[in-house]
Amino acid sequence: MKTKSIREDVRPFITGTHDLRQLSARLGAEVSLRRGIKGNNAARLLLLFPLFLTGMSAQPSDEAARASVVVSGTAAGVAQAKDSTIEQLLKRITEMEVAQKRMQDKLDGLPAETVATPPAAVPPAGATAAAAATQTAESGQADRADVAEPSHTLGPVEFHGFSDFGYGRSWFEKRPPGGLNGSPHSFNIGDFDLFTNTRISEHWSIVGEMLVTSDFTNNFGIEMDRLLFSYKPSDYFNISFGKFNTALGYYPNAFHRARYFQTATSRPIMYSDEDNGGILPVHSIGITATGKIPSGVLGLHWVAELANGRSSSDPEAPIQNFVDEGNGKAVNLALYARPERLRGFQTGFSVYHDTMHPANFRAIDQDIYTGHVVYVGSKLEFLNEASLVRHAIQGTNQVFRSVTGYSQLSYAFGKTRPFVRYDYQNVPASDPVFGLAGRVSGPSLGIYRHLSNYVVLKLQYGLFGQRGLSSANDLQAQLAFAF
Amino acid sequence: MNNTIRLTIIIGSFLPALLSADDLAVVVNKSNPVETVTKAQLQKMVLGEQASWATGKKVSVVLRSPGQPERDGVLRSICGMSEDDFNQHLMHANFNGDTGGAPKALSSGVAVRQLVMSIPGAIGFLQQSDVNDTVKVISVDGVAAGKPGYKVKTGK
Repeated sequence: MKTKSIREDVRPFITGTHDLRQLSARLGAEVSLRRGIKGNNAARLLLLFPLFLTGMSAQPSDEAARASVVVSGTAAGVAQAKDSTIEQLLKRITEMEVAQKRMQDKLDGLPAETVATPPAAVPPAGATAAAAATQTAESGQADRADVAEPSHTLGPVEFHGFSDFGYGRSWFEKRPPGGLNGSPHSFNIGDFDLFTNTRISEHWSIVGEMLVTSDFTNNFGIEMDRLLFSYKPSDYFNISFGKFNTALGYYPNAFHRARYFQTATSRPIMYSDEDNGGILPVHSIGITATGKIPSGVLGLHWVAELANGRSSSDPEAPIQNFVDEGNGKAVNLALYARPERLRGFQTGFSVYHDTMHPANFRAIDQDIYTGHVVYVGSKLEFLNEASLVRHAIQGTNQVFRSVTGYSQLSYAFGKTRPFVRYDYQNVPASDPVFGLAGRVSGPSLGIYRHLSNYVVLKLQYGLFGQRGLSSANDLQAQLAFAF
Repeated sequence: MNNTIRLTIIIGSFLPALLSADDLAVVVNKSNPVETVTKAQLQKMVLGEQASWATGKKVSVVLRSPGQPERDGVLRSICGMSEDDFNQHLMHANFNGDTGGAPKALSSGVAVRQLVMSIPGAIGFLQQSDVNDTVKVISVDGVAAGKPGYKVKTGK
């Protein structure tokens, strides 16, 4: 309140309507009393300006003060001494604006909270830097060296990781030519998933997710699962370029490849990777844009994607990372809602279109319609998704429809979460693209146990029936962790 | 005036202060025109799901360090989360490609106030004793801190 009253007293001074002696006497008296200084009028005037500047620094509404100064600058008959003072004040305001910009840049450059570190009483390093920087800003003593720095510096880059160790044999890993069938009682190491999400500048960021995987060949392989350069200017429009999980439904973009986040030991059959026999194009290379739709409590979001699509001429390399076999592009449009008053609930649908060009065959129009209704609360998790894959051979009336989907239910009792899932996928044998996938369906049930921060243990049993084959069961144990 | 009436008056005088002692003031930069926010909006901001104000300014959430009662209070009363839940959420959001939404963590209420004072889009949570006129206190769901029905409370 003291600062405000002093500003009011100073305002006539800078607008040229002051009584200098009266003003300096009042302010000088205040300052003298406060600081124990008893000086003459000149000394009081010397104290006036720092006091005013302190008031300015404590009052963020610089625009108003500057407006007053500008008005005063246009007033006729302003003495040269006052002009000089005004110039100094304007200069000071400009310096403060630079300092404020510097603070914003520093804040932007601070690392987010160390999310993969267990909670500790020690403040993050970034916090100390922020506090120190802030103290500088409040005192108005901007460090000239800091001001001279560029507005953004790269780093620090943080990598997090996810991996798992298991026992059993994954049903959803396709056995490659020459691969081992092996024992269902096998120890196995899961994907070693290295991940970074780093801001490059205020609106640009990069997401990279690299996997070191092993499979039935018992050899390691390295693949880039996600690589996205993103421009995020607002909540309503974000655009990313690179390799991403296609926004077909909920699961791939909620859990990606980290089994640590997943309740079950693996993805539903519906979202099996393309190179593991999955029928959906879960990976895309191209452009993806998303954002909120102003819709109040409905919480609507949109997604639009343009991508290479899936290869139909090389089943061993279905993801077209570098070159597209055709000029046409796959298009995916999605809309989903996250109602404000039902946190954890999400429902939506997507429409995907591509044209496939199998070798020595007519072109095939592929349309995929996917819907999902999910609820993920702190205790209850209920996931439901389904896709209809429609293949139409161009120039004919032949149409093939495949269905794939799952439903998963779990409920947390403290750190233990029992779950059950039912998978269903049915591809007609006559489908020219995925006919060999056949029909697979069956339940899985298991227990997810949170062992400690960033370590979970899962036990899962599955019973699956496959068309043309006898049913089979599967028992898996998995220790999944994040670091 | 008998003792019962005196006691009632005394309790009546101190009760509001006692009830509001654990209220956390929601503060923003003084240049921010916002006067009130909903609890749902606060939740989105703290969880990194709302990145900008209606004015277009970037939201910068400033919390106390882990283990501090102000932080625990924000997580409990606004997000319904423990520190572990919050860390899981941040890690998952980060893994999903969200950037910049994670709150900054500072070691003192003064530091929180200073940062909110310095950053136009900042929002912080302070014990009422840490509030001064360098920041602007806003209400939550139309209720001011210290008034009955205020929903943002400090943790234990």
